[in-house]
Amino acid sequence: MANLPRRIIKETQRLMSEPVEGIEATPNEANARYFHVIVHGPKESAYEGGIFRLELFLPEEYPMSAPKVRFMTKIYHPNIDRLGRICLDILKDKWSPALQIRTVLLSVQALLSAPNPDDPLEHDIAELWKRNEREAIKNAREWTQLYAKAG
Amino acid sequence: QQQQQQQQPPLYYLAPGVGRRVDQLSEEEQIKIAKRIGLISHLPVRLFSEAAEQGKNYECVICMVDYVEGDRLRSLPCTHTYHKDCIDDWLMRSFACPSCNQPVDATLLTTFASSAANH
Repeated sequence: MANLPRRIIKETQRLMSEPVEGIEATPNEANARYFHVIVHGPKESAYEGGIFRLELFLPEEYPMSAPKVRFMTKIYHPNIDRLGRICLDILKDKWSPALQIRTVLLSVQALLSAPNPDDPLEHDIAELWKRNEREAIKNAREWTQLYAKAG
Repeated sequence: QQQQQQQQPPLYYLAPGVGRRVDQLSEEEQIKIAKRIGLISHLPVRLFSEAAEQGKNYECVICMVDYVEGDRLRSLPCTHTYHKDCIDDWLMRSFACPSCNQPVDATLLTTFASSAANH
């Protein structure tokens, strides 16, 4: 991998040496800009016990533009659509080069703890979340059992 | 590869991730970029000297490389400091400080907003 910026090498090394609790990010062997990510569903959230696979890609412009992050595991969440795309401000207009892979993944983890149905990507899920939160959380738990289990 | 770069017209960024070839910029966008370049050039630059900055964080948060003696640094009005080349690259895309999100120049941003609204 020629021309890999020092920053990407450093971030990768730090992710390995000081991992974030509940998050694993492993660079692809063939492409050091592509990371296989696993986020564990946060405790006391509807996703607790779930193991969610994501992909993270650092575009050519990184860190001048945000990483591309997508859920590979199906998830019932008002801010994550059926293609796994995530509605998160720091991945869009609130990106800053002071943010890192680590901070982005922490924000994704926080989004699982605190879904935001007022800024929805999946409107049906968001609507149920606002109308009947208990029912929505029950659905999220069911999907977690169905799709986000190891093996 | 260098030859290829010479043949490509330079890219300018209206926002992070929104790149435009120089020959594809509208007149309004050209003015916006020119204003940006003008503003950036007014921000102070200094040379890093270990003796003068003892006890401070030596790493540029943009490239994550430690400052070395003689590096050119640029400080924003909020006092956050970066390598000159690193922060200039960002300021060409956005006028918000990467660390605190404070606008680099609120007055100039307002001018941009009102000139954009007039179109």
